[in-house]
Amino acid sequence: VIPQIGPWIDDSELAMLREVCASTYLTEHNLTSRFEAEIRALTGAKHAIAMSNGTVALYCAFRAMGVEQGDEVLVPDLTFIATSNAVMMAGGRPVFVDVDHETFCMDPDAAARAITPRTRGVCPVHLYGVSAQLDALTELCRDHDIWMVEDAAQAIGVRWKGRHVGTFGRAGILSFYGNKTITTGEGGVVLTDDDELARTCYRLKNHGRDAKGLFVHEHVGFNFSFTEMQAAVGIAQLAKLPRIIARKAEIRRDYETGFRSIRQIALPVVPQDVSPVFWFTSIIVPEAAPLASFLAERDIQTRRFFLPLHLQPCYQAKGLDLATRPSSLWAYEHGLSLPSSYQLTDDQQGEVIGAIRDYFGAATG
Amino acid sequence: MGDVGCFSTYVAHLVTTGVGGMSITSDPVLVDVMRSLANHGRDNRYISIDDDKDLDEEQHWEVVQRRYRFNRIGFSYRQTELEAALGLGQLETVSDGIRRRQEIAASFRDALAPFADRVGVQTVPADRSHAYMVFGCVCQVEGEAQRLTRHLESYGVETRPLFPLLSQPAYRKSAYVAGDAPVADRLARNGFYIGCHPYLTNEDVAYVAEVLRSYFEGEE
Repeated sequence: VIPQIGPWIDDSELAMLREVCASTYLTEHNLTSRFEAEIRALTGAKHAIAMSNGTVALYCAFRAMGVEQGDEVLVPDLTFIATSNAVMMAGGRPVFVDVDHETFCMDPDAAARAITPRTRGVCPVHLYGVSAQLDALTELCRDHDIWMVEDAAQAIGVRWKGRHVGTFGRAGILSFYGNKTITTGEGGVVLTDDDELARTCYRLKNHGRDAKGLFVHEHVGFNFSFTEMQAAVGIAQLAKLPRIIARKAEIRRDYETGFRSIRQIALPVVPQDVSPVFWFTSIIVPEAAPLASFLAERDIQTRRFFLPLHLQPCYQAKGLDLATRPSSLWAYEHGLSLPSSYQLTDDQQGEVIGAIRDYFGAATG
Repeated sequence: MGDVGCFSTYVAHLVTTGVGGMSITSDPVLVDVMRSLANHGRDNRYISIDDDKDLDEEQHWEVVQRRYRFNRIGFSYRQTELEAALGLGQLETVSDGIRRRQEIAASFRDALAPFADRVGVQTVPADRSHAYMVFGCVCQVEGEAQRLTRHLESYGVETRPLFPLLSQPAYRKSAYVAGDAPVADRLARNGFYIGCHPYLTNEDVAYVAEVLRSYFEGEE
């Protein structure tokens, strides 16, 4: 089987994990501080608060922004469900905004149309290795006096006009789940330049306390601690990040070359202002479902785009606006992510390209 | 005994995975609900990354169709293989660890027995066993707990207060009225605990016992 995605794990992670076991410190300690410092250096954010995963990082960011019952937060209709669930966990009401045809990220014009007097914030998601249109969204937030929290779960390394995504809003989050560009198994981080937001996020993840070891709690909080094991893996992974990004660009280029003569296949356009990280190489085809099934029979894993939020079974009959978002639905029906692991071999990629050329009846080679 | 039981595997606990927890239940419906809730509310057909392995074509297609379907509003609370690896290693020594904790607790009980009129220890009813995550004590005289813990700390023996929920500042707005939980209030004022973990050597245990004794006998 050719996997769609997989992490690159070797002796460098093992060496770091041995350090953890030797130290006997398993939860947040020196390596967690070092990991946070390295994330700050990479992104340019003033604060990086490591958490058990990206979803709770997003939840804490929303709570820190003061989301209250009934507050509306705009999220793109095409995203992993955690984006909108985090809004709901914080007590807010997600409003599903259609995406643009080019980036599959939140369409700033659609966002402007979705704003109501209850709108408190916007949460763009930087999807499949590119960035949402941050200039337009920043302006929208300024014009309407609402905040932005960026869901950059998939987007480590992605830059907008040279600046790392996740640092444009009042807060941003990164995820280090197993399938991400770099991973800590589970893991996430909140990025912010705001000292008070950083303090609130830390408190929320640490049982409502400003430090460990206190047993008097001034605030109600949760346990979203990071571990030294996650930090150990994360530090080893960060050292590999430049090589992973370069390899992913190579994979994307080779797919592009392989499909050049097939008119039924398009690759998403990368806007000029974006320095992408091709976490996945995705293609746009007339019908994604039958191609996915054809490739699965040949032991080639692919991944469909997200089922749009307005169609998720769990959001039916919850009082949310579920009108069709045409571009998001279009992306779901036409988008397919191809095998894109760092460890994908040239032979495997040749096989994937060959199979897709067969499917479309194109001559091989 | 309950419908669901919950364990924590935080560092200070009997079995540790750094941070971690586990629910146990015999109810298959609750199993499905909890697995899904921990995994963003995902359709139970595709909870684990391996749920698409070893299937025939029809079953595989079913999984592919339901991979990004979410039937309930859930959370992201999965455990990692890193935690599981530590946990498996820890489980191999958990019985030895608890036996050692009980041994240490017996030494502390013996050391305190002559002073039972001034300090009580947690009683263990005949139908229960005690794993001694910590060793808890309660002073009988108001104000003595502060003096005793200060004495212990000055000799390098760490103590921790007992911390009833109702006295937490974060719960100030709750409906609790002072006096509603008199036992918990008394324990909060007069109780504390000391460490009882398997890393304590026999010398450490003897030292702590001596420090306790010296307080009550006034041989400082």
